[in-house]
Amino acid sequence: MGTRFHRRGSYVLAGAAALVLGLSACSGGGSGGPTAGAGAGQKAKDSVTVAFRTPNWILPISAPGFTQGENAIFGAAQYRHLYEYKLDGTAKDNIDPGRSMAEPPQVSDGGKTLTITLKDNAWSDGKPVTTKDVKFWWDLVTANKDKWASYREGGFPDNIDAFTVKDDKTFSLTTKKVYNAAWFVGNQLNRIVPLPQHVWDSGDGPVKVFDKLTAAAKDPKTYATNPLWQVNSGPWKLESYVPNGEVVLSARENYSGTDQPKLKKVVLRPFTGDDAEFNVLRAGQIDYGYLPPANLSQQKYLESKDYTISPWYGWSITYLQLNYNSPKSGPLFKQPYLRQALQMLIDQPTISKVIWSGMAAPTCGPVPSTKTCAYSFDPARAKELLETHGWKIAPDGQTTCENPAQCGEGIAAGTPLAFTVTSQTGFSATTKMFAEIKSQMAKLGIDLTIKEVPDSVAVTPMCKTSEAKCAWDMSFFGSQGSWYYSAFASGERLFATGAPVNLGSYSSPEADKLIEATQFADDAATLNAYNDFLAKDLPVLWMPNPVFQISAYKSGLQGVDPQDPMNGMFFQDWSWKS
Amino acid sequence: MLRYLLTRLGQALVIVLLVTMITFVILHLLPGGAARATLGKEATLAQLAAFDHEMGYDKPWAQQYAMYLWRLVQGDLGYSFQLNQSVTEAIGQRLPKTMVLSLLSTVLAVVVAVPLGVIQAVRRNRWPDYAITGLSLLAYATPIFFMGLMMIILFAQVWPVLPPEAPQGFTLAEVLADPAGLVLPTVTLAIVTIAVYSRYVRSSMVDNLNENYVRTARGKGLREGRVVILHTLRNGLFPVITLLGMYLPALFSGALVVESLFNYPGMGQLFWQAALKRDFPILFGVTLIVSMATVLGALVADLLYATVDPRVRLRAARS
Repeated sequence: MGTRFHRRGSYVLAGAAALVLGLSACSGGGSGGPTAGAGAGQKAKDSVTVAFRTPNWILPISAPGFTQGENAIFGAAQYRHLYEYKLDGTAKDNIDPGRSMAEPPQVSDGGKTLTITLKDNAWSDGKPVTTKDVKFWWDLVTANKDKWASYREGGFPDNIDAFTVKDDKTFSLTTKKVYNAAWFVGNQLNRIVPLPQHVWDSGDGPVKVFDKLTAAAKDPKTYATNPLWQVNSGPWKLESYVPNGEVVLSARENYSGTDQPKLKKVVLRPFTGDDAEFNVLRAGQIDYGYLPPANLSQQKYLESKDYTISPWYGWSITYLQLNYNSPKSGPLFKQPYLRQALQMLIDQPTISKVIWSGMAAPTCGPVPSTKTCAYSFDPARAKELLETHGWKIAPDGQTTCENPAQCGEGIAAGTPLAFTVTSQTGFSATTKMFAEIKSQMAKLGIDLTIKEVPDSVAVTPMCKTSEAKCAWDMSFFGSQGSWYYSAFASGERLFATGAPVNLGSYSSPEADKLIEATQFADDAATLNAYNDFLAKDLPVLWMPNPVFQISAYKSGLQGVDPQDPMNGMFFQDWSWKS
Repeated sequence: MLRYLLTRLGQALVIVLLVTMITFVILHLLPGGAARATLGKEATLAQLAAFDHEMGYDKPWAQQYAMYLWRLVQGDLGYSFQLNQSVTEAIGQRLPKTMVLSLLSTVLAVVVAVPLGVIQAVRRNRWPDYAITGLSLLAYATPIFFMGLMMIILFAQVWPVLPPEAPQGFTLAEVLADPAGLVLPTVTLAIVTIAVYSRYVRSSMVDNLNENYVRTARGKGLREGRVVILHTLRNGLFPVITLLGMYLPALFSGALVVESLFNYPGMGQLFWQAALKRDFPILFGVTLIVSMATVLGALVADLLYATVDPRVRLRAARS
């Protein structure tokens, strides 16, 4: 009896096992099997599979909300910018002559006119790229500047007096003021993207045309099929596109640039998160991915699996934003000695080496290349600074202002040194970094409360003192770098009074003057002067600057390094070793 | 029965409405704005204001909620700026994936758990019972994240017989075309469920095997297998029916951890990402669907009870 029942139960169990095994046995033809996938491993030498978030904007005029890095790379693969840049110091104004669609601009008229000559390039339908295509872009952004993510009041195109087409190959821009050519070339001309006027211009005027293009860009499921997006200037064309899924780019056979693609296909595969990506990387099923910082200990294992691990350094800085308008902390942050003392309690070299496992480097000023920090880690000097400014130090207790006259304006007697940092969740190195900083500050009686949220930028907005949302003290959003620059690392968007990303409302007439000089004085020394001043004035607290990404790619894949510090990806340079 | 059904459906509607209202209030109480979360730190104040205006976030809450309900009546769940997709499309893309995974894991769990529970009950306090109980507790106590990771390491890396990620297609056909990809996520999700279901079945079967009607059946000379399968199991399945009813919302809400581990962007991931980025239209859409599934699940469980247990039907008829 019991045996009969036991057998029957066994049959059912066997059936369940068969269900599972049956599923696994049916793997032929599946897209995700260990040996499947166009670019899996090195079997397919003419394609590559890349871990890549699905881009969701195709129109090469960025719209607010669609400025993510993956959209920029996706766009540039299909629509070349007028100028591309490289920061290796080999070219004037950092223009990359090989990738750019135009010769470097000729400056005349006392610096007010830039004449630009297009190189011989063609659209994918064979038509030549002409000044009509640049003028078409110009008309669209001029008529719709509020819908353009890169628009800043007073910047491009407001700062242009005249756009003049001279012939099919030459046009000129006349600026309203005389600008520093390096700034203008690096931070304004970088936005120009010739657009296929002969295909996109329906003759309805720039506003209606822009609306039509935007509407088409808001329908991602048609990206690979809409005729609008079939004519492009870049080395890649879109072969297939699944919203939130896999994207396939194929090499354009009639691409007119000098940087011809060496692979036939690039498969961009999105992942739900770091864990999923890392699991697939460990299984060797993608050719190019990234090593999540939390899994850095697995570097040797991946190298043993024929991956090359390569840190991707960005043209970036990382900082801790201080809220100068906070009713509680603002008066404290306005005291330079206090900012200096706080900076001296951040041991950037040790944090970079130990907590970030060498995948970060100290930030010493607003220009990324700054190597020497004005304020090194020095708790004794920090203590001295506080004591000489009227603070009663209570190690591992609560330091308070004892002498308000010395503490500074707006600081009452008994005011504690207590701050809350709004930081980011999901980054273990960031959590450890703030634990270390908190510990150092506690030794001087400075109470640092760490609050982690998913999106620290969203909850620490630029604000006025009277507003309820202005209660935040410090904000950190630099787990992957706080700010990535264009080619010219000036600070008009970060540290100028009222600048859009000056979230803490830092304001210094001297800084404003120096920032303006970087924009208008055609002198390389202006950038140094600006950098030197802000490195010392501490508009923010400089923090270890992590790499943009720890890339991991199959060792047979060449052309990946050096990785673009401005976060571009040029798949056309990639190839498999034969 | 029809009256009962209509009453329950009316209650369900009220509950769903309350859920949307509560969700709406909670989401708007979150610190930080949707505009900044969507447009990023580089957005100007003008762009933030334009976003709020386009999405209707600059209107009073009550008006926003009324507008939302009005669009809902018209079948419009809204547009997700984060995804550059309508909410209907975004949900429509992920729902089949989630349903396939949830259904497969549920079926697998039931197919395995019911016999296990029966074996335990029939062989209670003997080694099969102890062994299965031990394994069940181990499976139940193991975090699903760890379980999935072990599966991947064992079957995709150490012994590479299965892919480490789930099917990457979005349509039902694409997902089903890669059955091997479904094995590890399905089994991972099913293991914990098996542990839970088998415990319920065991407990219920042990109770029923001691009932008088079982003794009567045995006394009438019925074979033990017939007594267990035909007489006892039907009553012993009541707890599983309740669990299945409660499980229905999971068919729609997804399994965040498994989706994250196996690169399977389903409803769980959609909701999680939307919560992180304050993607209100997606949050509302998913909440609405899951709350509807929850009340529907409870209703289905009640109806199944009535089907399985004639006494329930009798009580319903009398009342």
